[in-house]
Amino acid sequence: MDDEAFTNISGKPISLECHSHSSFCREFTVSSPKVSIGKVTVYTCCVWLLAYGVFFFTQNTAVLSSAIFITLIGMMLHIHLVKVDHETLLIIGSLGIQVSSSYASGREITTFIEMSKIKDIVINEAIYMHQIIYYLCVLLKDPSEHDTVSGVVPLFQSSKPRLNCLEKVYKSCQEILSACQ
Amino acid sequence: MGPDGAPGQAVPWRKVLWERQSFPDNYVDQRFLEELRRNEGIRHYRYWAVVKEAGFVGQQLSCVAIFITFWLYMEQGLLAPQALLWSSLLCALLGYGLHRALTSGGQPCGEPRTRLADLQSAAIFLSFTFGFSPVLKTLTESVSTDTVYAMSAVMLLAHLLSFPYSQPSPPGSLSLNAALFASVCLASRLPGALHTFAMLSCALLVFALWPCLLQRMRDNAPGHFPGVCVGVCVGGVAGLGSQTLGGAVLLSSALVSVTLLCPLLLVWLQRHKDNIQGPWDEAEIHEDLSRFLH
Amino acid sequence: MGQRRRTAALKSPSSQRDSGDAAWVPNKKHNICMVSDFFYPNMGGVESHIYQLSQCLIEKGHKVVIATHAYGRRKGVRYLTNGLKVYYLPLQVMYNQSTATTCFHSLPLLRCVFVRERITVVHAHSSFSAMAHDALFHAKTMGLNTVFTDHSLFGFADVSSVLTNKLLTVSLCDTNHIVCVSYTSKENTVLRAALNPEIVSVIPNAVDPTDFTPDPTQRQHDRITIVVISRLVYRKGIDLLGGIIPELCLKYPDLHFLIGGEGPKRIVLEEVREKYQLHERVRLLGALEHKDVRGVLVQGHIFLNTSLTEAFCMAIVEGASCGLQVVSTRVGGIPEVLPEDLITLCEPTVRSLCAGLESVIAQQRSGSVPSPATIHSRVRNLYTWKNVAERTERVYDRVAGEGVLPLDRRLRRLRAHCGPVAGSIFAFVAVLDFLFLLLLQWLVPDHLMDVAVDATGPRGLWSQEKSCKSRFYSKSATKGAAGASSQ
Repeated sequence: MDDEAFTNISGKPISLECHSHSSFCREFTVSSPKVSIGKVTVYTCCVWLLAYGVFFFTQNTAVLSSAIFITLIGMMLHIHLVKVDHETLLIIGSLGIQVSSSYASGREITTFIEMSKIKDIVINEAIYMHQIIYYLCVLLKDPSEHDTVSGVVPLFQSSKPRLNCLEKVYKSCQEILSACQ
Repeated sequence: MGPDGAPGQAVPWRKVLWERQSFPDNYVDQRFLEELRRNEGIRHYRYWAVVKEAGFVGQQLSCVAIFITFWLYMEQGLLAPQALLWSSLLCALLGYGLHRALTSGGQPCGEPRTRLADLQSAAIFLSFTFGFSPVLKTLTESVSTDTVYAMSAVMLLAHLLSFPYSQPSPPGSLSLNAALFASVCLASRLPGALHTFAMLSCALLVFALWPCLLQRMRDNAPGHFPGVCVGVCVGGVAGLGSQTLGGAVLLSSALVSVTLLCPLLLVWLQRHKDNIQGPWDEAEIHEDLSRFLH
Repeated sequence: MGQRRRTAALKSPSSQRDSGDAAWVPNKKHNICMVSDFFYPNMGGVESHIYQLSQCLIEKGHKVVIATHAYGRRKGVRYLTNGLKVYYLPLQVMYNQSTATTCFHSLPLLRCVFVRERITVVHAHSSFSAMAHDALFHAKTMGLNTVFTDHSLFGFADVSSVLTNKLLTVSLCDTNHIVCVSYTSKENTVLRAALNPEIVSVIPNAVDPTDFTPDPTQRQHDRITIVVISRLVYRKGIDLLGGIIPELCLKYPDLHFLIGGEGPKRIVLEEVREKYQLHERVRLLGALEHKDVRGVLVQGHIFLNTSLTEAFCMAIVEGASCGLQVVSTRVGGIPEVLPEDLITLCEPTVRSLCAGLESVIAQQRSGSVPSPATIHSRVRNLYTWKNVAERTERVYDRVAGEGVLPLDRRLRRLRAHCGPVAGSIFAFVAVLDFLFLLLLQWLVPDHLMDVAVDATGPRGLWSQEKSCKSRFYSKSATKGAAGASSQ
């Protein structure tokens, strides 16, 4: 429905898409920027220049061909394993939460948490590398024990949106959670 | 807010925390740091007193030089071991008499050892040294001469460094052991077993017994102590000078710096001493509390 | 950002800078960050000082956060009572719960705390804490006002104290204000760090009088009990205690000792007890929790303190507050703590302490001592945390009106104040720190750091909505505790 521009914690622009399918079913998609041609070019140039430097001293053409392979395989692995294109949080009141992240290659990983296991959704602070950041997470509970938190599932782990974006997601999630409880 | 903003001085400031005073928290009173004491209980050194004490260091240095001189003479065959043994014996007897005389002159502390006990220990030492001297002679045969010399030099240096100059009687175990180790090393390079024996008895005399006598002399006959020190120093320089001139020059410059220059430096640096004491210092327990435990 | 703030402070003090307004209002609210290596779960005087002071400052409407290093699995962000936020930063502990210092490695995290919490005053505690000194150093680089509280006394005699005093000189030479806990401590700190005494305030520690009330019914009337509560270490004079116990126990058959605390010198007391067969009369209670201290104190008639050095002795105030007669050594700041009629001061020798104890025992026998309730009512209002907070607040107000030295003047001051060698070295370090800060500001600009949601302070959500807590924040706070453990 609406599509707003936010940034992630390192200042890169990301976009948040909110789809309200019904009053108790919403979908949030955080999309990271696409892989920029400039960045790919820079990395490729670096590897090739390095390979050419080695070739200059060794006069071995295998270096050059392996450099080409390395860049190709590296790029493929990057888009398949590292580069997340968008992360989706689908919350359906009374049913549960589905979290999925799709990689740039099209690979998609989806997990589902049923409502009986969800204690709450909160915004938390954590020390991440040399920063202290806010992140959104799902608190899990044991269906048998009510008050203890048995686990934490962090959301939007690879896009790492900033607080204003998290707050927006948080508020609409809370609307649904409070409606179904 | 500032410290000068103190109100009318009707109520004097007190150094107490339990009373709410009308002064700001950062108020600085006239009495600030009045309990500060500087250089309390400091010892003021006088130059010649320090030189006299440093004389002990100088004479110990010379003792080492004298011992090396004896060894040099023995190695070149200029000194017969018999002569050294007899003169050692003579010196020992003289020293023993002097030691006795000085001890009886001073306070008799505890029960003095009898002459028989002294004779007994001397006999044990001499017989063991005599018995073992052939063994000691061949002890370092497989080691190269350079190594032996280097080791003796290091050990003599260790002897000088670890010597308990303030309380030399009995000589510290580390310094005495280092000196005897050095003398065994050196003695093993001499031509015969008797040489070794003579050298070792001489070492015992110089490194073990002489400091005891000197200590006694310092305590009981302080007037003669500087003279003896100077005598030993002159003897050391002269003895070394008869063998190597360079060694004598080195020794005499070391002696001058140790006995004259270092005390000068100490007295001069003493003026810059600035020791601060005050109520914040950790209290020291001076009593002997172990009596409650044992 | 440091540069911008600094110029703002110098050129236009009335700009958007939070604390540097030219029109200084006494009741200005500050954003305070307390930094020390020592905080709960570690127990001790500094820890409770930081906690109590923070609580009182929160009550006064200031925003307070605490930064300390991680203790075991306790790392991340936690909230304590009244929304007191604690950052347990993952920094390497080197020795005795003090972090290692390289002058640089703590900058990224501390900068992050200072920036996201919009800190205006950095308040470091304890000269033993390397993290406190690091934080002072970085805060000055970032152009924040700094306050330092010294909790301990130091000598001048040995090599280690010469070195630590030099480091303290460097650390405090451009700190805005220093707080000491007693006048003796102030004299000590001024000498150690070569400071202008006018930037050193004396604010004593405090005890919570409601925690330490007398209860004479707990005393046993067929005996006289002497209570000692201290860590059993050399500096607390436990060797003296080992001399006093047999001396007095032989003289007074109805005398009992109750000793709380743990430490390496316990063996001394055990030996004494063994040798003189005093198992019935000398009870060693081991380490006590803070809440159990009162229960021990009220059982005694006399409180004995044998410390050899002490900046401000909280224990004797606690003892007096429970209505006990206090006997103590005359060391450090102790003579300043209690009025003369509430304390018997002795020299730190067995004989003098025994004489002091005997005179108090004689008074106790003759019944000429004031009742516990009288003593309590006199001590009750001497040292309160409210008073400490008010006086500390005044220090913050004063500091907020002062500028922070810009880099060039800071370097000049370091060179002029700390000697040519140490001054030059640390001036160089300060330059490196500044360059490192610029690098960090380029890598992660300030505007990219989310401003933390305030739990305390003027916009504090915990204090504002105590009655109707919004779901979001109360939960984000509880999550603070839960999430930190999940890392």
